[in-house]
Amino acid sequence: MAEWKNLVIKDVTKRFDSGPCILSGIDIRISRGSFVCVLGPSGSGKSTLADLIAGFVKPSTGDILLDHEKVTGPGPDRVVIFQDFSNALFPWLTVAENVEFGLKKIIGDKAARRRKVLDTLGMVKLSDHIDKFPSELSGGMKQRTQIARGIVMNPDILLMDEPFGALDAITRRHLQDELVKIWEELGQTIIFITHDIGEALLISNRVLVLSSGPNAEIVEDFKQEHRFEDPSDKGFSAAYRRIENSIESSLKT
Amino acid sequence: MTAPKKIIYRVVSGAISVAVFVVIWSIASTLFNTPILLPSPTDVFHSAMSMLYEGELLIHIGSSVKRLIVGMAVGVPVGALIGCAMGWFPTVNALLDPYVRMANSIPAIALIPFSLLWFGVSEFSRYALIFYTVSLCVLLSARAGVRSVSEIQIKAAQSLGLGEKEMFVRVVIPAVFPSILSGVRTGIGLGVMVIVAAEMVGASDGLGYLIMEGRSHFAVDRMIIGILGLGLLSLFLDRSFTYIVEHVMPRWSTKRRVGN
Ligand SMILES: Nc1ncnc2c1ncn2[C@@H]1O[C@H](COP(=O)(O)OP(=O)(O)O)[C@@H](O)[C@H]1O
Ligand SMILES: [Mg+2]
Repeated sequence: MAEWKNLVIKDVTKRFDSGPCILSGIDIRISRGSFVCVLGPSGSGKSTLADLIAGFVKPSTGDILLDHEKVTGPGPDRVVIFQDFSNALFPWLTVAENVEFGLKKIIGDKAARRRKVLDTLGMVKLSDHIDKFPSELSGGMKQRTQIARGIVMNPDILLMDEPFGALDAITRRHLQDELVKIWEELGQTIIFITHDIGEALLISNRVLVLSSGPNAEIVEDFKQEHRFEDPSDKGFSAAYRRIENSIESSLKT
Repeated sequence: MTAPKKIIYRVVSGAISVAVFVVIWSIASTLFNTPILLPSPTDVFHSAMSMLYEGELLIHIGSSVKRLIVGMAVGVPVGALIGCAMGWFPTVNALLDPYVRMANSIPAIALIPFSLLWFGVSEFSRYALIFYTVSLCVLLSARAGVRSVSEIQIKAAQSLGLGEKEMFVRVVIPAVFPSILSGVRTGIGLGVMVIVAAEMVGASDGLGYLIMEGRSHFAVDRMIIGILGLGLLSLFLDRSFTYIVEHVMPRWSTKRRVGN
């Protein structure tokens, strides 16, 4: 686990050109190996926060640091997984070739690369579909491919922006479970953005709540020993209500 | 519809469409009753057969196809590359866009006299005209294709570690490939039109030549063979091209992109 880096978001604000301040005073420390959910109403700036960490946009003030090193642009140490699965994969490449895409720059040996790709596709249960094209996959399979394409890079952080938001409830439940299992096996940091409180509590044990924008800030840093295994677990509804309340009260102001 | 049913449906509907066309033509030529202006389908069919047996028809078709292929072999890659570069690099676009706009309104036919002046009555001047038309057509669809490359794909590739130049080679060009292919398809149609015009001036073979030669000898059957030959050639090339794209290189078919 020691190979991965800690993420520090230091006093970050973000405004686009002369528009309103979207995010203000974001100050978070996410230590390596954690699984953190970022929750917030739509339009609050969750995707903007993800874009900042990914390096697609630069903070207006403040810094984003990976083990004291400033993030200056996108890179394979912070792979992003997008919600829009119909556009995120490369349609001219098969499932295996999509997963191999970024790896080509890292592993030169073809056979070794292939082995790694197949292993990773096994983890996301796509071994039977490696030669299919994205147009032949269901939404859930596309997201599995995207996850494989990300984890195969062995990034410090897997940044997931509402990855299951456009899937049906049953597929979503399956993928949540599998993602948690993958994380337990690999152990790198996952930052998972969602607007679904239940989803957040079931997959992670730390939930950051962003207030509604503009000037969105972290209004709650909910931590507990373990994530909830099931919505019927003791304390789940209390935690749910507590987070719901902090979102509600941020909406009123 | 199942696949075999689909094929039967297409063959039958094609046959009906041809039969109706031939019947109308027969009736018209009987009513008109002036074979020197409108020969009957049977007469034209017989001359076509004798031209085929004597090998003359294949020579005309062959020369036209050769001109088209040579012009396209150079025009497609040049158009595709410049189009992609214009779509991806704003500076390249700013430099070239005015010329592209102008060229877009100057048909190859308008350049024939100029081409004769420069290159003389030569094969090269015909290749040049096809090159001009096809490269422009492919350039425009490639450029439009680049502009429609999904932003998420670009972001995904950046996040997987690709720099600007690799992005152009590994994402932009493959993403644009279906647009380039549809530009080639349009280019085939326009190319056939240009060959005819080019062959009407100073050529000694080709389907365009056949039409002009038929007119000067009052051989209307030969003119009709030239005209139908062009249409059929264009249809054949278009269908073959689509078939090859779908079956030999399916990953580049637009169908793969729809709904992705
Ligand atoms: N590139 C941009 N330029 C200007 N405004 C933007 C840009 N990206 C996002 N915004 C604005 O930032 C706010 C937060 O957007 P976003 O981060 O997408 O919210 P969320 O993901 O939480 O729904 C919105 O009001 C949006 O209009
Ligand atoms: Mg969002």
